[in-house]
Amino acid sequence: MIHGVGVDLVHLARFDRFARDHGRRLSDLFSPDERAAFRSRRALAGAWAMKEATLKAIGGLSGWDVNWREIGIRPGAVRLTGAVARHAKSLGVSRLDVSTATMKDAIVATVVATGP
Amino acid sequence: MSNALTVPAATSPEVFEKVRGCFVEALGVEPEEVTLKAKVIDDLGAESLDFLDIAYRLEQGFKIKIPRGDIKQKSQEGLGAEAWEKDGLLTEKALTKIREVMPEVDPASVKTGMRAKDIPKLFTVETFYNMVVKLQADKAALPK
Repeated sequence: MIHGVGVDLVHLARFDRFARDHGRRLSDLFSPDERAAFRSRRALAGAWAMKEATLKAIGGLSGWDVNWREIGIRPGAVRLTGAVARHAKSLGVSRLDVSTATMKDAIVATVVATGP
Repeated sequence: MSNALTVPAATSPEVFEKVRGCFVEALGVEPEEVTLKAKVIDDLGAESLDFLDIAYRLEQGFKIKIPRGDIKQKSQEGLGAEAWEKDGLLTEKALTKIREVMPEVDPASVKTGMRAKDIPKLFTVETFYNMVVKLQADKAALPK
């Protein structure tokens, strides 16, 4: 059954400004593996959109409280760890399907959370 | 003992102006929009990335570390998981604790039907101002 659907739109200019101003803090949000997999700013903005969409699809957690690195993004896939994984499991979420749509100045990510 | 994240002191204009500057830079809003009572999401239009941007600017500007999830943790103190949240909704006990932890927020806006993920919607500029003042006081109290 579908547990939740999360959609997030990231404006590339906004993400670029954040990355420019807080470049050293990107490691708070992305693991070394993610930085290696999403090398360009556009790709990293897409990974951020996927993290946000995942949080919305699972539900129940706020972006202020979450450890963003526990929402691990690989190209086309999401892997949860830590408290986020425990929360998702407690809600019965066992699968996350991701898709993205890229525009000139923005990226939209959609995540569907499903479970038995 | 109250576990409110506030320090009972008059607003410092210097600190507030610096906090306001962080909001202006992070959100691209006009300075006059950044009042103590302005709601960070509803009035200033902040999203998750903006919250991080604001927090990082405050940390850099005041040389402090803002603990994420502090308000949630403090509002959970003394309550078991079931007493805090039931069927995804915050319990009345949890709402009472949140009102205690966030006295700067209009108590009427902490209402039945809220979920844990809605807590940041309560944040005002004063919430961040209070965090800064509290963390500065904590820092000053540390032995040199």
